Amino acid sequence: MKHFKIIFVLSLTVVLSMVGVYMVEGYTTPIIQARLNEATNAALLEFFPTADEASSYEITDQYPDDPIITNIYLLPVDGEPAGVVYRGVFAGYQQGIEVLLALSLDSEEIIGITVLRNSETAGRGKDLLESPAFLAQYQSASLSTVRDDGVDMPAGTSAPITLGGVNRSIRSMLIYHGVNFLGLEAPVEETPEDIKERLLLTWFGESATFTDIPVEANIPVIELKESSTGGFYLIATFKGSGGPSGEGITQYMVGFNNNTILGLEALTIGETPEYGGVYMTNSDFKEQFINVDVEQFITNGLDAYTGATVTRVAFDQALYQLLTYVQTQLLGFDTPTERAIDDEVMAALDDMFEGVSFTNESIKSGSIYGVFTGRVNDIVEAVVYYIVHDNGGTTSIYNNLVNHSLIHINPTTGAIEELRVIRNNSSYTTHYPDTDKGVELDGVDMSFLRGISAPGNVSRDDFDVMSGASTEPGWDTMPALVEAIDQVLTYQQQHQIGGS
Amino acid sequence: MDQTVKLGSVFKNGVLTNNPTFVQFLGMCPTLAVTSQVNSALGMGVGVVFVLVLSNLSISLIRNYVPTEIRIPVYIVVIAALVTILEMFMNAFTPALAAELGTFLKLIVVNCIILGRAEAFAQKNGPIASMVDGFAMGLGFTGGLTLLAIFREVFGSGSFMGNEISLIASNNFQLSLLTGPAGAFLVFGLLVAQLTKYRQYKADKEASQEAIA
Repeated sequence: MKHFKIIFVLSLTVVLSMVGVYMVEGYTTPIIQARLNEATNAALLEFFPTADEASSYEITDQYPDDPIITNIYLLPVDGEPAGVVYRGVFAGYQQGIEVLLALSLDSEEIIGITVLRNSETAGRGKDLLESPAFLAQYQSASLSTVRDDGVDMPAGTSAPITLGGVNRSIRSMLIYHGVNFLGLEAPVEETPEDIKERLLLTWFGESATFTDIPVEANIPVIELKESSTGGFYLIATFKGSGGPSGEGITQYMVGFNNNTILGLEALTIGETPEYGGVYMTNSDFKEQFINVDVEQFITNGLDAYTGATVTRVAFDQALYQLLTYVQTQLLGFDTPTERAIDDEVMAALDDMFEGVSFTNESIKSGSIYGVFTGRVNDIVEAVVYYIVHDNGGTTSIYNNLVNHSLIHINPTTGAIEELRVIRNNSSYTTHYPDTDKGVELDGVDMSFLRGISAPGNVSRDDFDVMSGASTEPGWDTMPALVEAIDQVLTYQQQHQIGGS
Repeated sequence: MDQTVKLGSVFKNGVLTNNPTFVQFLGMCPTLAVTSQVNSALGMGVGVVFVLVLSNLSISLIRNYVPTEIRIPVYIVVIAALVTILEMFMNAFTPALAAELGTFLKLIVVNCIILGRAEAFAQKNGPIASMVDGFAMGLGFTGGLTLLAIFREVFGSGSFMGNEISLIASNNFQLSLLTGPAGAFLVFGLLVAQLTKYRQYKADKEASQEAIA
């Protein structure tokens, strides 16, 4: 009985509340509508000041199936129709962005836009819809540009869901207007296959045929093909936010001709439509990839963009990985990081041995990445090993998991003369040796290494003893450096580089 | 409690003694958010008075028929309906104010004062006393909002109810900080400090008079 009472009272309360709200809505809706109609009439004349107000009329028999458009007004000037104003209700973050869009009948020109009312969030969508910079993007803009690309988020506003909703709704209106009043064809919605076909035609021409190239790296490339007309393309995937379900995967296609990116477009979007989806289909996004140098892109990354941060950062990293693979594995070039290191090595050699010219024996053995022999008058004056060793750094797209150093070996004695750190990428910058991770080697006195010629004579503790400080176990840089030193001394003993 | 409560003391309690803004610190969200302009503060205040009076009345009328277990859901339904009705009226008759208040108009539903008074007063008292309590609390809230808004608009924007105060505006004496959220906290803190000091002074004075007597 008690449960029945609970259900009854709650139900009755809900029903009575609904009746009250319904009655008030019935009373206020005509008032709100009348006010909006007044605002509409004022806006119509603002769009077309010379229109004959008495002759302005509403089309009632040509409404499209699209539920966005609620009214279409034809505005005659001197008896001849001069423009059309569409009234529609868009969905942004909230329902009910009521908009008037004025379009010309003579050309593909957008006259302007007025937002009659909105209930978007203050500070977000509301600020966007009331931003003069946002509304100005429509004034005198080209129908096809706005239809295909939408408008951008003005600086100082951030409401991607509202913007996405408005762009989609405006596109719907513009397609209707183009087809029904300007005789334009409705744009064809491209399938992924259509996009792929279009891109292949644009990049490689009609006569191109394609053959598979094996993918020899752990990167998410699902198709890699070489064109008979030169160049190649690949289709890769990445996941940023993964869309509303968090599981979406985006497929994108990139074309290359030697070290030039021909273009990049998304085939399928797995990101949130209003955020990552807008970002990856925007024309500005696509344009930044047309005929740009691979290395330039690796160095500079994506253009800055407001919004869709998760998508942009994830895509930036995926693209960096992909382009590095393309550059090193498919094009056979060094990465910019490797070239930068090469420059630093040569600068260090110049600093250590003024006037000595070095030749590089391209040796790769363990941590040894090269051996430089410096000669004066054809006599070997110095042997310098270039070593690269682990440093316990954190994972990063900038390859900072390793340190780079030079070990100067006396060619006569085969003993160490000097160890110089070229690039210390250790993850922590605290000073040696009071750290359990990476170390800042730059300030450490390594002169104790001088004269050591046999492997196994340097230990991690030596660095502590020589510097008069203690170390903590578990650090990564020093064991790797000690191992690299042993490798150098072993290699020198075995190969007698420089004659020792 | 019942109808024997003194309406005068109920009124004084709502407006002054237990002022929801400066004494109970209830409804802080709109207090800080909509007080950059006096008009918005007054609009929000009137809206809260409307909802408070009617929700207290409704809840007082149905209090004996609502099982204790579901009183909160029932109160919320009633309050939500009243806020929706208020929003519809404001959209119809004061659209600019409705747009100005934006989300905060809808958030009256979860304003602590409304549910607080329903729970603390209306469910224990008769309709008349509950209406007086709602009106007094609403008036106290409106007063608090308006006082805060006067300081913020006058000294932050150099205007009063949208009208420019030339002495401030033409000499660029505005402190734009006061129009932002930080300014709201600042002004609110200063006002609370002054009012607390005054109440303390009054209490001390009364205590010393009693001691002399």
